[in-house]
Amino acid sequence: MKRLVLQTAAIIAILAGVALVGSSYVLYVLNATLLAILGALALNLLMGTAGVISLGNSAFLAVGAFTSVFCLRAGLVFPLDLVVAVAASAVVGLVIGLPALRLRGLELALATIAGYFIITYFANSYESGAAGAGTGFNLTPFFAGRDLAAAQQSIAWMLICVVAVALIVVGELSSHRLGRAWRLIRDQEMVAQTVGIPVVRYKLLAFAISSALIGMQGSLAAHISGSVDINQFTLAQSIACVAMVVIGGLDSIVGAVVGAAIVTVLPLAVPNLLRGVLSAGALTQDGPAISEIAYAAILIVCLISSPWRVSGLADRFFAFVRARRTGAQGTSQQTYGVINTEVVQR
Amino acid sequence: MVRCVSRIGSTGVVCVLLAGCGASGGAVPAAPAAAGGAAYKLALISEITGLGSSLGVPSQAGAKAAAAAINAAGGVKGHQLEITVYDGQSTPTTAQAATVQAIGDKPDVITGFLTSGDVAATAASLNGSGIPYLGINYTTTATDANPNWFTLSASSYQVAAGIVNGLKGQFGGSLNGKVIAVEAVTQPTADLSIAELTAQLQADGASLGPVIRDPLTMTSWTSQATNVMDSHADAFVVFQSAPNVATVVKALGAAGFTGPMVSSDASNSDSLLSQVNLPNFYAVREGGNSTQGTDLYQLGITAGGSPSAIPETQYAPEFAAVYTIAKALQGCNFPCTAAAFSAQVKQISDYTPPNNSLLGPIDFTRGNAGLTAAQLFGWDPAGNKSAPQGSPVSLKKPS
Repeated sequence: MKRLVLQTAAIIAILAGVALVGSSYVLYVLNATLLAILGALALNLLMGTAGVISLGNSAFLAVGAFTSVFCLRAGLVFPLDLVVAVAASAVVGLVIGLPALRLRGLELALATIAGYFIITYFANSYESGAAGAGTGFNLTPFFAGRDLAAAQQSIAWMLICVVAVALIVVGELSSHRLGRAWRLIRDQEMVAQTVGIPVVRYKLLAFAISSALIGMQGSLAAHISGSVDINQFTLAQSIACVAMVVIGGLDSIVGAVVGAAIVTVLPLAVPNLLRGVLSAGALTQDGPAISEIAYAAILIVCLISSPWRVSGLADRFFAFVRARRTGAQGTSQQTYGVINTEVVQR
Repeated sequence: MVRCVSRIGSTGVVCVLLAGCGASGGAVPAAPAAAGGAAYKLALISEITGLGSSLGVPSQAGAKAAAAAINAAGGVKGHQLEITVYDGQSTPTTAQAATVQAIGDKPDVITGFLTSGDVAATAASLNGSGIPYLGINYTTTATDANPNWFTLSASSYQVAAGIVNGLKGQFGGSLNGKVIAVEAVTQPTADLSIAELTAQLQADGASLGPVIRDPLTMTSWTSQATNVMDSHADAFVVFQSAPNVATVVKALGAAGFTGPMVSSDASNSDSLLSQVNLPNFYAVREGGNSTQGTDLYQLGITAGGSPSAIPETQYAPEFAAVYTIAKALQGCNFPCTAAAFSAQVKQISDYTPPNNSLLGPIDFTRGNAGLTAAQLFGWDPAGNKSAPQGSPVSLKKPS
């Protein structure tokens, strides 16, 4: 618990630091990252901790966003619509999670993609059938009326609070009895059944919690952007969410945070970083294409540089430094020993 | 403790990336400011990369070509146009980031092209900023609520008018008694166009035949083509992405359909026309010809545009959009406030941008979509180029 609070406090302190000094653009990027962290935490719980593969996450974003739209059109106000959106997402997650009882691996991944198409079909039909929504629904964005920087900063503080709570809740869930059960199901499902863990109930619980969190992300994103359109919920978005978890490191909360930040920030930061390398002419003509290639290359480097992804990379580095400092013999073996123990403990 | 510190360190890496976003991250100045004088700042937010880049890159080339030509002629009231490019990257999150960044840089006017999903995602930020937009984005319910938002892309009414009036030309001036079959993507944006098409067909005595909806992902259209043949439709209209238009129209041609087949202005490029290469297939266009050998093409090349992007159909309308911005700024003091700029745009009733960049004059007195003319284009295999069919037709809504 102490470590969890320390980790959360450190992450929040860093994010709050950015929120204090950032321009309106940096604040927007921070807010996009904070929203992505919610989704990455949810998917890390499902894929990393419980070992259940899901590729249809943007469908749950759509459930959250469209449920909020439905509630607001029906006369509910924020945050009641958010509560309903979270509950609806959890229920839909349970339904979509039912195939998880029989399927594993690629088959389950395909089932979640099928779920994505079913959900987006209904969302599409709702948008088509709703009066005046031919090109999406418009909501009054959070803090409308304030200037851009002030509004973005207010959103940032609100999201930091939400992310802090999410970090603690997900951390608590995954570090105690429930988390240990999920890991045993992930690693040895037969053994889990043998020792009396209700595998079906626990898998569905993981789906429901994960979907609820992603639904919350979708609802908040709708309130922040002020618009909901079915074209915003794509399979590519689902893949990006999976990339966050894989890059950060499966079953690592800090990894999910770092992965979400990398996937969100990298496409925006790379063009700026290129400005120091390319001439103005080359930047205009070839900058975007080079940015795309650089972004892809950095992602690949992140993926292959460490079997424990970004969070593991930092662990290895500090373990190496610690081993050097103590002057131990056979440093490399010892270092890898430390890491392997940590991986097993996860 | 060390492990915890290491994780905090890795989070710190993220902050370095955030810092990389900086105050002007990702924005690329595309035209230099005038020496010794303040320039009008234009923000071009377009899909330079990603799935929408085939439409966004030509819009960038069009804006740069127009700005270069205007600046070479002395600018607007002695002030040069300075365009800064913001890449929407064809996703809602990055398009929103580009828009927020552009707004933060406080341009005089925003222009450019985003896909419809990204337009919806960025509308609230743009509306709240008060900065005027004049470009070639699609209209949405959100943008319609913005008094400072103007486009040279066709509204739903104008899309339908281009198709209906174009078909009239194919049938000798009237559609009375004709049956028109439709294929459209299963997206809500197509619903508005179909509703407008239905209303305008009925007003002309025609009726809507089978309406077939397909998702964006399709590989074959053979069975649906048989259904259209069985309906004995006189003409066929398609609202789809370019690859899907090719699939649909080729299947219908192979099934023996001989009536006119018309693609909406959403898919109307030379590459599509040449790929289909059927004598009864046409696409609606509002922008002028910018193929090799035209003045428009040469201006684009001079401004550093890509030879493959300039002939595409988003190039000429964006070229016209920047000229329209210049015309509005011409009637405004320097610097031009949003209200004054919008007031100037709303007075534009019969402006023809240079180099035949549009098929008709611009009129913003009737609404925020200023196009007034369109034309059907087919493919001329002998000349290996697109060829206009008949005369330009009106897109004006009756008063």
